[in-house]
Amino acid sequence: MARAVVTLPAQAKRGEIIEIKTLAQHAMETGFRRTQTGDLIPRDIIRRFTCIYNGTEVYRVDLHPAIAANPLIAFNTVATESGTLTFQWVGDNGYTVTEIASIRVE
Amino acid sequence: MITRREFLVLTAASVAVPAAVNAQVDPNLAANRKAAFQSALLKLVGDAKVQRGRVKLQLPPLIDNGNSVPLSVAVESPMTDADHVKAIHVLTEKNPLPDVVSVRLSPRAGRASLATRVRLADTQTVTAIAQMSDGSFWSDSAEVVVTLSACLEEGLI
Amino acid sequence: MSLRTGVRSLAWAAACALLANSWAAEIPLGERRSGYELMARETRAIQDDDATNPGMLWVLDGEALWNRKAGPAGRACADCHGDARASMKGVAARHPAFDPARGRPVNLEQRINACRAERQKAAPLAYESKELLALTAYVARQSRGLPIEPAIDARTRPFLEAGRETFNRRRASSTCPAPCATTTTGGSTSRAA
Repeated sequence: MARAVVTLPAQAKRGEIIEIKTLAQHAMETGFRRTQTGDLIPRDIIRRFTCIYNGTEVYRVDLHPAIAANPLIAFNTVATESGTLTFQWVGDNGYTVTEIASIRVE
Repeated sequence: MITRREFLVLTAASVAVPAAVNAQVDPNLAANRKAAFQSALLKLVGDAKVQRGRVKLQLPPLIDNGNSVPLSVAVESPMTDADHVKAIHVLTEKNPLPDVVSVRLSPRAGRASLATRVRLADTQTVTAIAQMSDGSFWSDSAEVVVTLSACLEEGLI
Repeated sequence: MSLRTGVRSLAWAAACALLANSWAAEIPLGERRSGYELMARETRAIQDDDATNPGMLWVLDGEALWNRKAGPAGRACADCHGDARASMKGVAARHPAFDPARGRPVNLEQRINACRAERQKAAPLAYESKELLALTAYVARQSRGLPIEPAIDARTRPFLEAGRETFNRRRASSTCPAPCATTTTGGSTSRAA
């Protein structure tokens, strides 16, 4: 099942700043909502997102409950070389999702 | 004919009651949250001076639904090794927690920016802080009016 | 105001009300507007960009479910319907559609569940479940941009009339006291998004 979606160009010129858009499927339960009987629904969120480009971390985000459900993270990175971009989401209750994309840089 | 906005305001009025009840439970709610914001800010910048400028925080000024608010931050910077943005932080004064999101970046980003969607619990000021490689801090803030607050909804279970 | 003017005003008001009522009841197909045009700017922005639209996560889930075998015969939607992009084009746009077996119109969710029960011999999917939302979103995606046009004929007309009456009726409800007709432009959705 789709857990995260990443959109970025398949190729770019060396040095070009590209835009990457990511979406993760996650309710981002804040920990502030209550059940009908008044009990708090425990927090369950994605805590960290990282983008690693050929082994180097190029962008890192720490998320808090104030990030809306199904987090959108859109950012930029410099197309330095061809290779692999690894996107990782880590969160509460052992949540971990990894998506990998290739980019051709000329 | 009732407009959609009037209808939403009426609905918000019925949702706002829990907030009032909350305030009755904690008469210092607003003050506590403001203090939490100050404390979070202090943790981020220490005793450094935060200057206005170089940061552009964008949020819709009028928000129908505080559960999903588009937010973008962009910081003017050459993003070179000598001069770049190291971190971007977003904080609120009236959410249950002051921290919204923190970004760590480097010259590899090319452009110091973030676009995301956030939850806002009330009409308030949202603040974005950029930490530069030279140790300086810059900020921008945006005032937003929130019709339907996040974080106050009744449980669904 | 003389009696004659008063009566004339009354007649005029009645005529307007009648006209407005019938006008609101039947907006010509070419004049109907998509719900998209009523969206707030931020909602439209989400709708405009698949890369940032969380709904697309459900469309992708739906695609996976379309290809997943279900039921004792191990049959997937794809096994009968093939590539949804071809076989499902226009399907969502003509629902609710009259189902002769049931003698009444069914919506897309009911159609999907009917297929599951009858063709796949699999348990129906619960309303608002992730799976049913996903399959529905995936099938509806194949009608993107097409005008929503459920067939109105002798069989479906009674249901249409009942719907119109419900839409215009003032309700006693704490969550929505207004008739649907006053908070929207009256059944104007014309394009599948």
